[in-house]
Amino acid sequence: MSDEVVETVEIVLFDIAGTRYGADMTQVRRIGRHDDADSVGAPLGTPLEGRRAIIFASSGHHEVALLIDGVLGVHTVSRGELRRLPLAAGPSPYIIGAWLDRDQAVLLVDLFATNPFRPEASHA
Amino acid sequence: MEPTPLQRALAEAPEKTRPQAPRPEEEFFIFKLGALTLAIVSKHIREVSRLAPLTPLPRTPSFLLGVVGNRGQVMPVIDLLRFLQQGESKPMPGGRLFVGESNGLLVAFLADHVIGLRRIFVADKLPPPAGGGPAAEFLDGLVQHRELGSLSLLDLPKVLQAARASVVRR
Repeated sequence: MSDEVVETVEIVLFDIAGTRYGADMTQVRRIGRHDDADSVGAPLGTPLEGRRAIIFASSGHHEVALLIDGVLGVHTVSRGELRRLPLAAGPSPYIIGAWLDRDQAVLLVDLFATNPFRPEASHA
Repeated sequence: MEPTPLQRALAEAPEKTRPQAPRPEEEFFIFKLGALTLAIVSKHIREVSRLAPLTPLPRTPSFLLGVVGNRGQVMPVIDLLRFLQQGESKPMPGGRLFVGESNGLLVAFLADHVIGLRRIFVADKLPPPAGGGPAAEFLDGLVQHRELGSLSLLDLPKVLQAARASVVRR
C-alpha cells in the first residue's frame, strides 16, 4: 500500500431516486444496463427507474450491478472537500463519507461493501 | 405629640438595604417546533443557521433526516418531533436549524421558529408530568413562563445519547 498522500480523487456521481451519490472511479468497471449483471439489491434505496447500473467487481469476483437512475458525470475532487461521516450519523457498512459540494453533502459509497455476494458478506 | 406613621416607619427603618440571597438561574435557548415550545440549556447550543440542502441517509431511523453541509462540516439533522413521537416536521429549504453539542457529538435540529435566549429561575422548574408519554423521558422539567407560556425543558445530552444508540443499533 502506498503512503503517498492522495490530493485528488475521481468520483463517479450518480442519482438514485433524486439523491446524488458518489463512488470511487477506480471501483467502477463500467456503466451498463440493469440486466448486465447480478443486482446487489437496493442498499441505497429503490431507484425510480433503475434501468442503468454501475457495474463493478472486486478482484477475483464476478461482476455485479448497483441499479441507479442515471450517471451525472465524473468529478475530480480535492481531499479538502472530503469529509468522514460524523459519529452521530451512525456507522454504515457502505457509506464511507461525504463530498461537500458547496453546502450540499454528497454521500460517498464503497461499492464493494454493497456486494452481498462477496465472501466477507456471507460471514457477517 | 404622637409620631406620624411615617416617623414610626423611619424610626424602624434599616440603615442600609439588606442583601437578598441570589436566586439561581440558568440560561435557555428557546424555540418552537410544531405545537411545542422547547427550551435547552444554552451551553449545549453551538449556533443557529439556515437549513442547507438535505441529503437523506439510507437505512437510518426516521428521526434522522439526513446530513447537511454546515460551514464546511457534515452534520446529521434530527427532527425532534419524530424523535419525541409528537408528529413530524416538514423541512423547508432555508428553514431554521440549530446545532446542539454534547459529549463531542454535534447534531443539527430543525426548528419552526427560534425565540432566543431567556434566563429562567431554577426554582421555577416543575418536574415533567408523570406518564407524559415517550417525550417525558427526555424532559428535564417544565416552566410556566410569563411571556412564553408553558416551556418544556429538553435534556439535550439524553436526547443525543439515545439518538446515537438508536442509530448504532440499526
